[in-house]
Amino acid sequence: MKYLRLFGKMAGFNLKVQMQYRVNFLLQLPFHLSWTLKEVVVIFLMYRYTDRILTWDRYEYIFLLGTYFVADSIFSCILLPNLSNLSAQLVNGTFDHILLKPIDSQFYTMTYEMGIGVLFAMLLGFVLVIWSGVRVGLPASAGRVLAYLLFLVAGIAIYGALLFICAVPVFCLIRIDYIHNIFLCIANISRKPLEVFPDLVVKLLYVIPVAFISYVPACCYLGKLDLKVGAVSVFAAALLWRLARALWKMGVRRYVSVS
Amino acid sequence: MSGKYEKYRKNMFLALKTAYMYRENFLISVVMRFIVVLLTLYLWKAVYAGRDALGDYSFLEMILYLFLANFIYGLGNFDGFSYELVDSILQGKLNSALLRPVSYSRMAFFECVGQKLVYAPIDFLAYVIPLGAAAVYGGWRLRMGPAAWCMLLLTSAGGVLTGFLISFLMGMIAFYVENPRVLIFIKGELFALLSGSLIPLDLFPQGVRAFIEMLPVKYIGYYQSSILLGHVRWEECVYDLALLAGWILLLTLLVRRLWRLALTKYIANGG
Repeated sequence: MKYLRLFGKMAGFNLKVQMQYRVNFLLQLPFHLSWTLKEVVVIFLMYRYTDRILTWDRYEYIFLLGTYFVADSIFSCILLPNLSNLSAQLVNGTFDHILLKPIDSQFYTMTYEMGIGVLFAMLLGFVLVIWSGVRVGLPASAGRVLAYLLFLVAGIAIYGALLFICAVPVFCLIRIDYIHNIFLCIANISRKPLEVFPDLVVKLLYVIPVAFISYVPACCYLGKLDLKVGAVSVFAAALLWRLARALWKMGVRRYVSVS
Repeated sequence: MSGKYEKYRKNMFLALKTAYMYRENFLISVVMRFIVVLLTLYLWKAVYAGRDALGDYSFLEMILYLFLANFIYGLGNFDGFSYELVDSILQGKLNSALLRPVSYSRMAFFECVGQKLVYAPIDFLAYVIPLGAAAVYGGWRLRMGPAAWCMLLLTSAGGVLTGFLISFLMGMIAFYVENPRVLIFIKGELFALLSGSLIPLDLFPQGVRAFIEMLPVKYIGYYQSSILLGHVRWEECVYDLALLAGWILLLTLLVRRLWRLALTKYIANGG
């Protein structure tokens, strides 16, 4: 509860700081819009020449894309900037300040800087989800929507945990520029229907478990997957965060101050 | 290389060495780039399921197209430099660069080329291996005469230079605007789409395609792939080369003029 309150305060503080420069803040909308639109345009161009890509029609594909954008918004506006800064903090010695604070160092490292443009990115993602969801024509029952939201939250947690685990080697390597390439790779996979990959790769994507980020929530909503598969994502998220926590503690023990 | 350009050459190789310094980073990045190439292949394979062609492109041609277009786009994309220039201007780091007895734009160009040399051989292998495999197993044959090779090299060099000049212009916006990063990002997204690196321009609606064909961005991916696949009509080559030369000239003049103008109003504290 204490950390939830702290998260709220930090989000509020970041919002105030970033809204000081209103034009800058509002420019976040075209920033996210350009990325979203580019992906949607590519899908529409592909579907000019075909009605279906395997079992996916264009609106189902856009539903998957929208789901990914919602997951990505939380991740790339909150976790990614902080993970990118971690390397500089270790080099400059400012990581010492974090360790001295009377709150959990992992929580602070993950959340102290928030790109509040997240609101626009998330909004655009949900607009895509709702628009394509209506076009797909499935009845939006409360159970279906709740299950979708639950699996989506689990997907976001998995996304964050995966990248966090990839970033922990920073304590040995110091520079982790590769994190952006891993992010791009996961983003590339998560925006595509997994049916396009060979079976072995799909199984691997369930093990890693990148499949749960956006594919599983979208498929559960669209009726392409059993809800039980979605339920697995909740356990996978919990498990991954435990692993991330253990690795973080190991990393911090290894850290030697240079300030 | 003449003595005048020796300093630029040295700086180019210094940039190359710096990029190789963190080996683990480099290796992981290389693996990820290979994976992204594979992902592209699988998606298009699914799009082609049950059909022979999409527009004028067979599956094999589409893969060859995308690989070469992405390779050239990677070479001609200097968004990283735009962000660096923005930081230099806003943080005052430009001061020390201006004090050096070298041309800033030339030095920046050679540094960028040095950085590109890190990944270019890897990317080249990633694209040449599928090209070779396609040629041997897919029944596709490279039918390019000396003239086509010349066009490919000329337009590739021109495309890279065009990409650099546009990125330089984008970075210079920082002289006038507090935070031009959003504009650079939007430009990057637009260029990724309009360069044909994501999907061939031939598959765009006719009106949109006619407009994009007038822009320099088609020389950063689409045009070279079209040469490779034999889609370029040779009677239009002179026009295409003239258009590219015209864009390079226009952009060079713009960069020079705006750089001089911007420096007259540039005031830096510290740095």
